[in-house]
Amino acid sequence: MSPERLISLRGVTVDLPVQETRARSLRKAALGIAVGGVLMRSRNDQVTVRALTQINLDAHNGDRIALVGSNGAGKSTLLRVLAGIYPPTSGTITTSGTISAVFDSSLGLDMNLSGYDNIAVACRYRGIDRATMESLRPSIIEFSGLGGFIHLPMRTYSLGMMARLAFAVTTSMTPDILVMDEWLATGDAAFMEQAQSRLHELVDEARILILATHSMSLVKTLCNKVAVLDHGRIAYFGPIEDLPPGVYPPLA
Amino acid sequence: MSNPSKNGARRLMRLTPTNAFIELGDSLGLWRLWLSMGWSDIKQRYRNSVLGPFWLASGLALTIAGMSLLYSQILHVAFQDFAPYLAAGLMIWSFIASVATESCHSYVLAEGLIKSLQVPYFVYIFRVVARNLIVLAHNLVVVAIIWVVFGKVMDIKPLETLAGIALLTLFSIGMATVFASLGAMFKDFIQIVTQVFQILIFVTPVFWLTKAISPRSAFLHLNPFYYLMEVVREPLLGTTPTAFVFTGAVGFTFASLIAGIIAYAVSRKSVVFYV
Repeated sequence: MSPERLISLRGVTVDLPVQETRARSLRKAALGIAVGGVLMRSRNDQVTVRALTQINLDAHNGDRIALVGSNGAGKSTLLRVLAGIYPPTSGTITTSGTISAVFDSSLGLDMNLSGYDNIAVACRYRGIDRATMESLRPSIIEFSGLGGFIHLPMRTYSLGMMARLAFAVTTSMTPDILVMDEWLATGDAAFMEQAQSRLHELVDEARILILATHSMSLVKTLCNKVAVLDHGRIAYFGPIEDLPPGVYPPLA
Repeated sequence: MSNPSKNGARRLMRLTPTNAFIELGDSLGLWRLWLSMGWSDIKQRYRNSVLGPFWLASGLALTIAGMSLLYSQILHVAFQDFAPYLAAGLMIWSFIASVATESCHSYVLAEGLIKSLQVPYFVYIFRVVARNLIVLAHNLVVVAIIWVVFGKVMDIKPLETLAGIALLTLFSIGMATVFASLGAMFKDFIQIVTQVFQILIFVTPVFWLTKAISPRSAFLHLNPFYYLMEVVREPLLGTTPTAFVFTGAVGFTFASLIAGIIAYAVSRKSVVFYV
């Protein structure tokens, strides 16, 4: 039996409107009525960037997919589509299972609250109920290695300390599908090592991992498939070892 | 409590009004989230301040004291009758006007969250309404003091007042949903709302008595805020709103909620690109 398909993208195209060049004012909309007789005529003149073009992608149980490509190739946009944050302009996406996405580690945290209280805040944003949060909290605190600092307001923390706590929170639950943008850059060497091993554990437990990264060592140690994005199109998607030469030189 | 990530796939389906209803249900289930967001907004606004949100209440108290003295003479109304009338009116109006103006930015200010979390957008609407309900609760303290001073406590019709506040809240949710979408799409919208509501406070019976003008006046009949004002203010002052006023309030509340659902469904797919 072939492994269960959990994610399916068919012809997904995403156009991002460029805000500055479109006159998003009621005056322009009103002028549109006067000139063209159609509300929001200015929409026709709107400049958009096609971030993703006709993406087809299937992910099955057990896939660890590295999303690679140059800056602006569409990695982050694709991750946001997968996480259900960007609706595709056209095409369809079907997913099953719980999805956890990590884009911004300090997201929504209240700098005036202690790290201890922010664990509750972060869990609430991620739909984790109170009882589960309470049971997870001791291990989150322990993993963060913050010790007594956990009871101080977060504005007293360094960036590295925030990253530790954020990482501990976001990796405390195992989703079916884990979507991650590379954001591990902060943190000292000891923590990086600790984080890497936690990531390995998590990847073992999650059914699908999709990781956007520029770190080839991370790709080689964590992933079994690679999707190469080039100007919003998928240049290659398949096992890393089958990657044709020349498609993505850094991995060759 | 529903897990938002479980709904990820569902939320990606093509948008229909039904879909907006599902998100509405999910958002109600996330009450802990928006309630805590509303609280933390207030805490941040008044951090390290001695009075905290009671600064708003004290501002209300000062306005009432000053204006009641003046207006009771201009309008030839007894001070002890006018002060409670004005207090209730100002409290209700400041709730309506704050929800209206703040809701224009409820998506825009939540940009980081909207672009990173799988949370239905109604959460950001509820956050604004919840925050203003908390302010309203602080202002109620001023009203309570005035009621005690003028011996009006026994006049209050508590059940009808609560029903009125419930209608006002529902109306505000609908209005805020419409304004949030428009505010995200059109950057001028918040300016328009701010200016219009500055005028509306004079058009709506807050500073003047309804009996001063013809009951058939368009300022009363066509103004949704008149009905919603009266369903809260009248029971606070000890009278029962007429069936006409009550029907008007219910009607405008329904209209507002329907408009909210439509605005949400229409803008749902674009909001993330425009905040």
